[in-house]
Amino acid sequence: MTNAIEIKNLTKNYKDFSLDNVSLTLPSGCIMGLIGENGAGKSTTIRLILNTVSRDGGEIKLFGKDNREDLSLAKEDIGVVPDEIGLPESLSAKHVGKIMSNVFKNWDAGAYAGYLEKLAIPEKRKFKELSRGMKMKLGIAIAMSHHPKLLLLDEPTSGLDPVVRDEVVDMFCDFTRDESHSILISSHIVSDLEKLCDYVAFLHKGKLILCEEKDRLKEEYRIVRGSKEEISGIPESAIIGRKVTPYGVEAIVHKNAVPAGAETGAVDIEQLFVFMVRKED
Amino acid sequence: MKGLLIKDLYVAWKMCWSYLLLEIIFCLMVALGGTSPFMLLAASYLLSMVPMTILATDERVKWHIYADTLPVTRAQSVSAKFILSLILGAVSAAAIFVSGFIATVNPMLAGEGHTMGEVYATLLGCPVVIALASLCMPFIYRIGFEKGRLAFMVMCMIAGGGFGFIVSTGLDLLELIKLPSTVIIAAVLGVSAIVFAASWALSALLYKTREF
Repeated sequence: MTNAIEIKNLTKNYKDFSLDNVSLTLPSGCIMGLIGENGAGKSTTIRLILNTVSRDGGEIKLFGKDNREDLSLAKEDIGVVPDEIGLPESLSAKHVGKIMSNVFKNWDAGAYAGYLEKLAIPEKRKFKELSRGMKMKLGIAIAMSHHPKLLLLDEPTSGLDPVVRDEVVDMFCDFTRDESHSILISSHIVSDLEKLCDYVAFLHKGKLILCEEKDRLKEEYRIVRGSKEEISGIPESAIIGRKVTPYGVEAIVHKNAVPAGAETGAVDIEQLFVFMVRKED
Repeated sequence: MKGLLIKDLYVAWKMCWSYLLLEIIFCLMVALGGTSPFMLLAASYLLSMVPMTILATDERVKWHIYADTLPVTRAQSVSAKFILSLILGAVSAAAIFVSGFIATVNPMLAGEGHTMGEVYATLLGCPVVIALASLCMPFIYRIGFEKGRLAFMVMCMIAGGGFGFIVSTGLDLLELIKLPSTVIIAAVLGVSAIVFAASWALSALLYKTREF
């Protein structure tokens, strides 16, 4: 099966920011989480995938084809939730449904109505009268109502309350039960990504500092707690990052380098990201 | 593109229904009150501004960025606005013709109604108004609404200055207008069509490469 997204050596230069040589692959049927601080390049990467900004170097393939060829056709198979849902303020979800049914060839009015009901989005209320969370939910309903094969989601869970967030995360999980469906999702809420993703990619200041299977990362690394002396015995090459606290030192270490008898714990993705970024800085 | 046009029509209706109301009031004044049909050109001018008003709103709510995620091209986004402009132009022309025609046959006006000649002359103003309004679009598509409007005003000032210079040279412009009416009609329609088409093509070209 072809990959949903293949990015090789992607480069984009702005005056004050550069996306530097990013390469990643999202296999079909998988979910990849794009994690990074504000301004790390997550939205730029998604815009480059959609070719709404032109790249300065590298290659992007969507479903095996260069994203500059027949992108309109490819977009029929892509559902996008941008960080801001730019719908006209005077229109309602009902109007939006009518518009989208004439935009997407595969628009499913029944599925759209189902999502509106499931996500409790009022059909007749004007877009400007919806809360940020509601707007985001409407964006998600639009992105999923034309049976896309790939979802590109830029901070889709921001502004949602925990209960709805959980519901939305479950919807995304259901979406990838079909082997031909994939998701690239960026979020600050790493706990959502941890629950959802098969792969995680860390972006920091425009550079991809890690792209790996989530389960493998959790298997390969351990968090070690101990005194400065105990941690200093671990080879530097095996340490991903460390944090000095009043109670000692915490370090994320490759499992093979964990000293015998050391106090260790499972590492979570958020810790791994924070420690890696600190090391990079 | 149909979806984009439907979106623009919805937004136009929600935002600019008052312009249409004004058009209807003017039509009634012309048809029943004997007011000059030229008055309807003012309403036409307002309607011709609707695509620009929508563009400004699109920019404010970031529709242009959202539209980039949909299976539509930027050329189609531009075309939707220009087609809307033509639709509104057709509405204006129909309003002028119908109300003007009623005024010519309205027995209540007892001979004070206007001639069809005046109605046709007013109708000729419609393509001019649409073409003039379209001149603003390439600027807006390239540099955004605020800057685009400013650039358009600067261009108008330069054009006005140029016109003033021509007049100051002593060239008798009125002599040029003493042409057969068919030639003038053809020239007005032709130039308006060329200006409109050129604005459309240029807008599509400039918008294609714009980055947000």
